[in-house]
Amino acid sequence: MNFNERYKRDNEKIVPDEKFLVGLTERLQNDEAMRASEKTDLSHNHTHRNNKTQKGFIADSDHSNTMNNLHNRKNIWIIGITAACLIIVISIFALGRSEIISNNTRDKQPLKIHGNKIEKPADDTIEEKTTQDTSESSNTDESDTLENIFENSSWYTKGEAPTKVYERFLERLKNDQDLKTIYMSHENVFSNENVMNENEFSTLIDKISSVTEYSGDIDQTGEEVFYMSEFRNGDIIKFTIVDDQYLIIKGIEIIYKIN
Amino acid sequence: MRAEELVEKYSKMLYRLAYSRTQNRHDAEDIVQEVFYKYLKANVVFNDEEHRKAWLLKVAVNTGKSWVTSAWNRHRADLDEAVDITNTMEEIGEVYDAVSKLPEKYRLVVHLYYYEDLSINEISAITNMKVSTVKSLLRRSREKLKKALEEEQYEF
Repeated sequence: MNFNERYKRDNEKIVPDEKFLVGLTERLQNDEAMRASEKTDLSHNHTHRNNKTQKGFIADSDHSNTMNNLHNRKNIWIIGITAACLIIVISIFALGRSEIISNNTRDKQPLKIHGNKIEKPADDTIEEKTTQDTSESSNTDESDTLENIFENSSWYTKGEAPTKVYERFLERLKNDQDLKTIYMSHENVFSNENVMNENEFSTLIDKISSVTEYSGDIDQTGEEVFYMSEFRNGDIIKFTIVDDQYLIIKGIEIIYKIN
Repeated sequence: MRAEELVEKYSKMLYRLAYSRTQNRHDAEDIVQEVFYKYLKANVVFNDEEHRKAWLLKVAVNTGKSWVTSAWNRHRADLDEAVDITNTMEEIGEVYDAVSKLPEKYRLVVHLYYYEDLSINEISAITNMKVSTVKSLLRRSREKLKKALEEEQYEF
């Protein structure tokens, strides 16, 4: 029997919850729409400014045409020289790089078990170690983006004082330029139906405005309410209030007791 | 790629990777969600679908690392959600159950190698582990799994 096939078959049974997927798709679509609308606003402002500028040149068209021609020729030279320099630099850089990922190379060695005897592949049949370029691609833009994502992948710094973390968390919640949407649910699943209204949100903020660090365990006797806050920079902070007394923020090691 | 299409195409792949690491449905869902949000935010132009897939896998591997020791997970464990998870692993299958008992780093490379069919180099690039480390983890995983599954005599 093949381990590979069996492991794949077992994995087919692992599927995300349909309700989660529906809620997630809704939220991502909302996010897409918001980003598209922000882009439209920006480009509308840019076009508006350009139009105003263009109107100013129309009145002096002859002079401006001559100046434009001279300006364009000068630009072409500058662009040409810059492009040539870039090509030279990139070529030099590319010569020094090693191969990274190849989909064609698999080191899978058949490992057959015959009773108690196990045949292992010789070490030298497994591919040699190579120098890795972990950016995965020659696309500088993409590697920059990956680095940026991992650098700021958390909204808090590990090891930061819990009070500081909490203060930042509360500040972000209260800032409507930062907070995009907040959801509340009695289970750890969220959809558009769970978006909090203003009154609910005000009540929540009042409730969690003063907390202290709590080092004990929670012996839950009452309900747990789940919250998910989405921020405009893409951060998502989930938290829960247990027994109306304890605030637990996902990812944070300590618990806060509500005063 | 639009949100709906993205979820349709990649949610299962990401969920299975996340679940293999977290062994917890809600954490796996949170990882999937975070990865998709990061995707929308990054707005990267991909060369092809393989490129997109590798990018998503890499982000998924790096997301949620701090959750294991958090109060949130401790509280979930206290609520005996862990017991449910153990039962679930056995229901999924004995091979999956055996893999689930490996330490997290081992589970990760096993999943990427045997489920995603990635090469050692690709796993190294995605996980930021050295190639020698990936090889070593795979070798040790096979040894442990052979012991756990010796009655079944699986071919690796």
